[in-house]
Amino acid sequence: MLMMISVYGCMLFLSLLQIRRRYQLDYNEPYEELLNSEYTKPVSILVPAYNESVGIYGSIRSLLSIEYPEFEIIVINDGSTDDTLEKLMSKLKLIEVNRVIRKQLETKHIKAIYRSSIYPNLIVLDKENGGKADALNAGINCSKYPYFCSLDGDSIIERNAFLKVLKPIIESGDEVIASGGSVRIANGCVIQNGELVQIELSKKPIVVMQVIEYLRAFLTGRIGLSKNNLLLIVSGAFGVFSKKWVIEAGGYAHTVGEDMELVVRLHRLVKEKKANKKIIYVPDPVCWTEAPESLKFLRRQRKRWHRGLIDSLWRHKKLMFNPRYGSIGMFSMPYFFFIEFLGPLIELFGYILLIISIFTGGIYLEFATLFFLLSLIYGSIFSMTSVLLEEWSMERYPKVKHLVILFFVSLTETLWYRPLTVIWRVEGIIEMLAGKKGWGEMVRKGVSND
Amino acid sequence: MIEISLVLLLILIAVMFFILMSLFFYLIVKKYFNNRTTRKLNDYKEKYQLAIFQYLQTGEEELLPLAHDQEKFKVVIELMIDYSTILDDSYIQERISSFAKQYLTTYVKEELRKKRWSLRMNALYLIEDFHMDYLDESLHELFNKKRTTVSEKVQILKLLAKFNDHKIIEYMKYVSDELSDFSLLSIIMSMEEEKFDELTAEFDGLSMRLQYMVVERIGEQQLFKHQHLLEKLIIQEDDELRIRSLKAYATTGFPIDAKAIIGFFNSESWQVRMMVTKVVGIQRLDEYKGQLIELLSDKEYLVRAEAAKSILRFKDGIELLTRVTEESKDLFAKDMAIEWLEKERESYSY
Repeated sequence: MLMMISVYGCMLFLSLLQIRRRYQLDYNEPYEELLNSEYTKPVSILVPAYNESVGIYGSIRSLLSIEYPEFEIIVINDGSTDDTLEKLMSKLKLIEVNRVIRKQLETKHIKAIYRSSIYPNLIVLDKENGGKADALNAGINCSKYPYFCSLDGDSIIERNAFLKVLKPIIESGDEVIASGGSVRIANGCVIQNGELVQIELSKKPIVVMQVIEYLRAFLTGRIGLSKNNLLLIVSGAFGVFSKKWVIEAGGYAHTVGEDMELVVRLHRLVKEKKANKKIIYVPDPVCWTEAPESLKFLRRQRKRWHRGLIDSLWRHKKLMFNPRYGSIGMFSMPYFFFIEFLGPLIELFGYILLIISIFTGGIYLEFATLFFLLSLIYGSIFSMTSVLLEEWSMERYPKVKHLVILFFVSLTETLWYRPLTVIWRVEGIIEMLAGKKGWGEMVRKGVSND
Repeated sequence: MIEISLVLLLILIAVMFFILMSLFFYLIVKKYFNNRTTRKLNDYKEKYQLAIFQYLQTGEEELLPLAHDQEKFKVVIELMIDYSTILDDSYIQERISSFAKQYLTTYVKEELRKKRWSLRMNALYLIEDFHMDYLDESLHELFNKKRTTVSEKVQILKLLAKFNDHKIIEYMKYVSDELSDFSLLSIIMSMEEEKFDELTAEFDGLSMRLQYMVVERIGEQQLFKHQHLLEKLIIQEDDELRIRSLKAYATTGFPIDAKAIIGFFNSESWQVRMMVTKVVGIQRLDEYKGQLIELLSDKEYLVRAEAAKSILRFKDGIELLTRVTEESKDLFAKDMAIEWLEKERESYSY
């Protein structure tokens, strides 16, 4: 427990230093040059879509209006059983084309390639269903630019997010091989024509709780890890990768947590080749995505995430405490295993012990209450510090009311949300032990209001 | 024992509760005042837009709403920056500079000495926006400080390049290893042409990466007077220099000595093969059409694609590619020819 508190505390401290350093920086100036430069690296944006009929058009609209000098969008219809392809056909006026695909990664059969007659830089691949990883690999094969971005079909991207996420790649001279941006929750926001016009908080506490959770994960967790090139996760919802390195690493693997798995593999490759390459997180670029609004789907998502985590750790167990892999083997892997993976198990054990002790009388009630209060306040301090980091860096939540809601909801976390997620993550461990595979169905209502 | 621990716990809770509440109040108070300031700034901006514009046109200083109000001052600066980017008139630029000299010099100098990185960077951006070239001493001072970060150095070098500073070439040689290609190029692109000529004159003494970027600028800005340098570079041993020089030939359209490139079609480097293919297409070198058709079967996909694209640049390009689709036994060549013929039919520049 003490170890957990100190690791999280250190990461929080590093993030505070890092964000404070950039506080009040003029955010437009550094990007003007990039926008006008001919030396920005063109990007292929890959959007895998499986039954995304509701949200896909909004996402594409948001992509078409991004501020970036040169890009292509490749939508991969991964054997959808709904009308995703038909919707794309009619809205984007697709025409079938002959294109030679450079098969650098093995994928399921591509049935047809379409190009939009309205937007010449938009391609749609129609392929047999093979899962998200397979769809992304097909997109990589079809892409023509040296960097690609993977983007979820239910996400909305801010207009200048690409400039921001690619800036370190461009400026580092290829030293950065992957760069991930921040993800925020779109539920409750007003989105029109694929553009976020007003940021609001959802009225549902379960969504607000996830807003806090995302702020904490991105702003306190990833900044600290990224600073030391220890990042094992680049969010699948929004990340840019060097195509060359990803292909050399073998592309995406068919697992439940393909995004984390790829990043671990990239780190592994970098260490094995003794290359000086980095994987970083950029706090500013924001991608808005849909969060589950019911306990049922949230539970599914969390179980899946936890299975994905152990899957990646297990596949790369060779790295654990292996000095050959430097800080990734000696810090990141143990951190993700002992704190992120085993943490919930220990926490659940604590909860059970507490309940049993209350009934058997083996507990000082005064102590238990005080410890409970302490953990409640400690958790809230963490949450509010991440809100502070948000305020110092992005200021996306515009009203005082938003901060008040975030504060009061964060106070309740220990009472319901934390125990629930702990139970779900332990369920994930059980499912993993039972050998469960697959993603579980996810119902989307779409983030776009049009 | 137990009582002491309970007290300790209570104290700990009280301290943490105090921290939490302080955080909360800091956040809401800050948000409240920030929102108020933003509203005020927007109002001021609307109110003073015309006055600033008139000042820029007439030069009458009494029109400037400065007083001692920080917010008004901020708005004036923002409006000036906005105008400086849209109004290119030399009188207006002069007035903007004279405003900056009078009201911003002390402020910018102080900001450059601040401990926080973001404030120093903002000051450097202000120097750029208001073309404050008389602050060169402060720039040199900051550049030579130990704690100055790479991003600050890049920004300073860009400014010194724009201001035609005498030390720029020396500085660039000194720090070129620390900077990325992109940064080096943006500094070189900011240089006055005369300074760039000086840099080119020292070409052989530059680091390899600086040499690459010099070639990039020659190509990018079509600097015909440096064509002899490109002629020299394509026949040199270094593949990277050869590739970049060929790229410069492709972007500029400078006439190339056709005999000099004859061996490049069989180069071991696919990038050289691709670039020479591009040059042949752009310059429509008839004698190499046969090589282009051969390159349609190259083992490297990007070379095949470039070869097809180049063939289409010739008058009889469509005919040549059609023949490939009918006669070639190489499936790669056939597929590529079909794809590009289709693109040509749709007049689609992909």
